[in-house]
Amino acid sequence: MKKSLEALLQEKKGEILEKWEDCILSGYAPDTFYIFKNQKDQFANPIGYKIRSGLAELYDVLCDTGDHEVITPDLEQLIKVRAVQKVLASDAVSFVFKLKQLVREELASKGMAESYKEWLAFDARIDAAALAIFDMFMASKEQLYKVRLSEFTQGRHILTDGSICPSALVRQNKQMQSAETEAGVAPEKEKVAG
Amino acid sequence: MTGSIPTKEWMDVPAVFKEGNFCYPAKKSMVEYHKFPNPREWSPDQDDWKLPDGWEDIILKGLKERLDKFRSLKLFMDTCVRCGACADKCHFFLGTGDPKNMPVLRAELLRSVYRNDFTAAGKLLGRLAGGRPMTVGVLKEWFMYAYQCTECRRCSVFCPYGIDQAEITMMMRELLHLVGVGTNWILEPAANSNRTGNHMGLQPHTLKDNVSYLCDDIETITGIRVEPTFNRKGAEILFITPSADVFAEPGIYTAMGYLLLFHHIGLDYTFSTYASEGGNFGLFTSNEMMKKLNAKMYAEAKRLGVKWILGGECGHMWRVLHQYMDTMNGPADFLEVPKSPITNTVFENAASTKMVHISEFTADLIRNNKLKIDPKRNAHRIPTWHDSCNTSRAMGLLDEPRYVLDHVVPKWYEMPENTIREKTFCCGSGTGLNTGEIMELRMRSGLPRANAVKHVEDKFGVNTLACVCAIDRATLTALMDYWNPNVKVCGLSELVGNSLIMDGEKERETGLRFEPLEGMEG
Repeated sequence: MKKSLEALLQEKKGEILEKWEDCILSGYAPDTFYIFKNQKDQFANPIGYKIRSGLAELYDVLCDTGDHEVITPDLEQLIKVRAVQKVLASDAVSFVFKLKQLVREELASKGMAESYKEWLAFDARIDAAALAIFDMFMASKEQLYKVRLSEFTQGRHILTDGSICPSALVRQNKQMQSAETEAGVAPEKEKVAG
Repeated sequence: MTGSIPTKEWMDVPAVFKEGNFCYPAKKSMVEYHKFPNPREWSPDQDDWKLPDGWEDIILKGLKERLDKFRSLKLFMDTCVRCGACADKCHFFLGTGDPKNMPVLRAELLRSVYRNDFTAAGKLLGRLAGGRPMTVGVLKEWFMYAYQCTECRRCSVFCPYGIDQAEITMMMRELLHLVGVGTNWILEPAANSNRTGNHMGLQPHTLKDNVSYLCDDIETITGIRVEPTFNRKGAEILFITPSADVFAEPGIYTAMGYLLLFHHIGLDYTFSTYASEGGNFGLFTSNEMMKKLNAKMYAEAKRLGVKWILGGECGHMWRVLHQYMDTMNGPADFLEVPKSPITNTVFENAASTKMVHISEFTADLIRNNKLKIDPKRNAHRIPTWHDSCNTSRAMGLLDEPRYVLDHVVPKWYEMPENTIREKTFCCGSGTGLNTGEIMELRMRSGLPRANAVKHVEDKFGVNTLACVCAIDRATLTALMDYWNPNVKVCGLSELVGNSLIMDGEKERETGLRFEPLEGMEG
């Protein structure tokens, strides 16, 4: 009796996830690969942990034929990591497509049913997930820019950029306020000293 | 560079600078201001760094001088057996995956040059003995990785030999300054501090104005007018805190906490508008600069004739005070051993420096029942405690803040054991790396801290990250905004101030941030 793709994906989950994880980790140097792969304490190895747990969540979503949301908490963390690393958007998402190849390699020797429809549906779920993950990546990037903006609006940029002399700014503000009250008198522009 | 895939030996992987992976270089005017060598316009992402003629000799001579002067450096260069205990302990390594951020390899960047020119094996065998000559490529590597280390010293907790990686980074930065390679965000605050007494460049009237704005807010919230004094001769205590406390969010709420606390106990204290900065960016530049910027503390204490000094919530300020001030600018024998005028407790731990931490001072007040506290005023906060690297690892301030927290909030939660106390993870942006242009890098290096916070947020509903460091307060805010947006950052004294029942206060409806208090909404 031949098994369905869904059943085989569940059966080979461990092996496939292991290889999928290695695909991302191989982007790091060999020493890093070793540590990120083997240190299981999430607090001593946050990136390794986030890769492992994020992929596991995504795998479950992709294997399930139901209509599940791609955005899950651990996957979101994984994409956040990708969004602050120096990777292109295409690189950040490419790991999703890699699953197509991995699954075919892993299941090739198994007596899987030649169900064209099942494969088509699985591939379609991967494509849809990739698009959703691209959106997650862009949302994380946007959030990062907002964080930067927030540093400016809350005055923390003074601590983090050091390029503006607050005394000069306060003087400027006072001059602008007094200029506004004295109609017709333009405020004297003062150089903002460093 | 960071995140790339090295396929070669580490010595053959060049440091590649791209916008976003380096701090902006020091402006020519800043280098001139400090009378540092080789002022010029340059940028790390250009091939030509416009180094002075004979720069290799300048570096090697500088290294020799430091090896002769600092026995610790010589020891650290010779001792490492590359056991790897430190390799996976650095937040920069854990957040970037870049092997050159393993403390052992970061040290090798300097050690390889030391071997080549200062050891017999290196002189004879060169690369075979792990040596390599000083080249532009090596210099660029130093710049990249000496500024991807926050001198937090977590790695040295795990080193069986106690090698202090922070001192190696400090030496690399000092050597880089000899040829005019430095960052603006360190040299400019240092220049401001030298000129006006604080990083922000605040002049006396501005500092006073800002504190009075905070007093206005306190009056609105509590109905109490607090009247701090400035440069008052004959005050019992001089209070020194980071200038960020009186200028930027969320530090200003911490400053409001100090003001309320001191009013509550009727403390005879004064601010100084000259020693108006706890922080010391000299620590991130050179030991001479650190000494120069630190000197104002004792000088002001002497000028004002105070008995002792109380210090606010700052990180690296306490490293300088605890580890260096006494020998750099002390002994301060014109001051008295600090004694709390409220509890009569003598702070023997500060018998030499004459300077007490606000958390020690507050914990002592609480222990002696001198504060009227209503922790329920902080019921809307469920904090966790971030041990700042410098106060925890450099001065051992571990239990006092926890004792204070126990009393000023209804409940709070610890992060996992390997992320707190001596093993605390850095905010990822200390030592002058808190600049905006490397925001992505800051998010990477802060990931181990943020990850532990996320754990307690998910598990216990933590919504506040409390700490005692000005740079932490500023940079953890950005870190939380990205990784854990529901978690806000605050100083410990903000929680203290918010919980105080002041004599003659009006009915409290809001906290110090004007946020409504649970069960007290008007």
